[in-house]
Amino acid sequence: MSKIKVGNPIVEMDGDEMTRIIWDFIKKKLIEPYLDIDLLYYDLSIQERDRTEDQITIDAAEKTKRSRRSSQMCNHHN
Amino acid sequence: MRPKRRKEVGVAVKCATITTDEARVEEFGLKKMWKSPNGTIRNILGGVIFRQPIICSNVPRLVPGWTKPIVVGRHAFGDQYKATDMKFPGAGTLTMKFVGEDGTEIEHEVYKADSAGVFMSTYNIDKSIYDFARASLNYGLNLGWPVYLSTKNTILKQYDRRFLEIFQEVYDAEFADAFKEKGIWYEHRLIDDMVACAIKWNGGFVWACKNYDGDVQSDVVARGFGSLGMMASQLMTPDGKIVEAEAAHGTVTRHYRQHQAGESTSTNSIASIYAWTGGLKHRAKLDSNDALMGFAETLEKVIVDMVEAGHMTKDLALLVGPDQGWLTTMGFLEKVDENLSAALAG
Repeated sequence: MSKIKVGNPIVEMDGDEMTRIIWDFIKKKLIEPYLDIDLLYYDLSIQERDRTEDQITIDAAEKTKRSRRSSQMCNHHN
Repeated sequence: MRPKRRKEVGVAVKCATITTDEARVEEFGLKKMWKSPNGTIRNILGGVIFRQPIICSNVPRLVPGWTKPIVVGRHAFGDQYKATDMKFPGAGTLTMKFVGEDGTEIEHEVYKADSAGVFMSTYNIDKSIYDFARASLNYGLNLGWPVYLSTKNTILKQYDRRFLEIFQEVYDAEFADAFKEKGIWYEHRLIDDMVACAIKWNGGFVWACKNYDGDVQSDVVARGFGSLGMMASQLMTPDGKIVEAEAAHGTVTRHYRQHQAGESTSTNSIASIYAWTGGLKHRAKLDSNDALMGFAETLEKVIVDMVEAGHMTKDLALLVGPDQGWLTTMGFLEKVDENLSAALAG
């Protein structure tokens, strides 16, 4: 069975603790095996937010709001 | 060559994150007590947060008549949450005043108090109410469910009436035809009437709440439907174009501590999975991708079918009854994996 092609990306914001463990399983076992999708990954763990002085949160939200170029082109870089 | 037109990505799926407090600053040695990421994201994207319970027929609800979800949309700006409040020490006059940039002055005497008391001033902004109206009506249209706005406009004849006026104006001008086509409607209800109707009805509607009402009513709805592990949350912008989907609950620290200690856990992953399906469904809608929509709907159906067939985590089992068995965190996820694979192959 071939993967479903998803023409445009989605922003993925990773998190913390128990939900971070669950999130990883969902992505690896329930999503990626079935979808050919461009995940724009942002790690919003407490450690990354602290390291980037919360810039990562802002970047993730800004990315959701706009993309630099037509997302058709993003896929080729996946 | 002309640069390509900027287009929003439009979809974000978010895992629950730690909101820092003093204890967390110490635990992680943080440089600062960083603000809640959800607040930061909401401020950047704008929009309204809609909370929607996930229903499985065998998980009893405290309000048995709630057979379809009630979606609470909370206007997350102004009113009590931006109030200025104060105590006053004795007899005197309380006033409120507007001084316009153009020099207009409007002043009202609020009360001549004969003794000490408390005083509060709240506000809201037309622009924010317009955004709230558009997001709520777009959310209802997306789901194909009617939308209700609740206020106390009979008492707050200017303040709450403004909400009523703006919602009606936006509905009439921008949504009435689309709503009629889908066989749905928009109505304003007095808050006392609305809370009674909400208890009596069977769900299947979007409830647009002013800030304070939304705060209170979303907790009533969450408790009435059973478990925060079954509550999905979506931020939608006023134009309906951008959706950020996440679970309504936190990072389940208590279970994480058990996990860190090498103990077994039974953490409900359903709301986190629905963060993914919620985001993917919006992607599918924006792209007119039927195959993707089908996939997301299949995953949701697999989960509901599984729980209704008796496979669930401990939080739900406790609601179902003393004879209901439960799976571990991974046990449940692995069963979802197995059933999803079978559902997609078949």
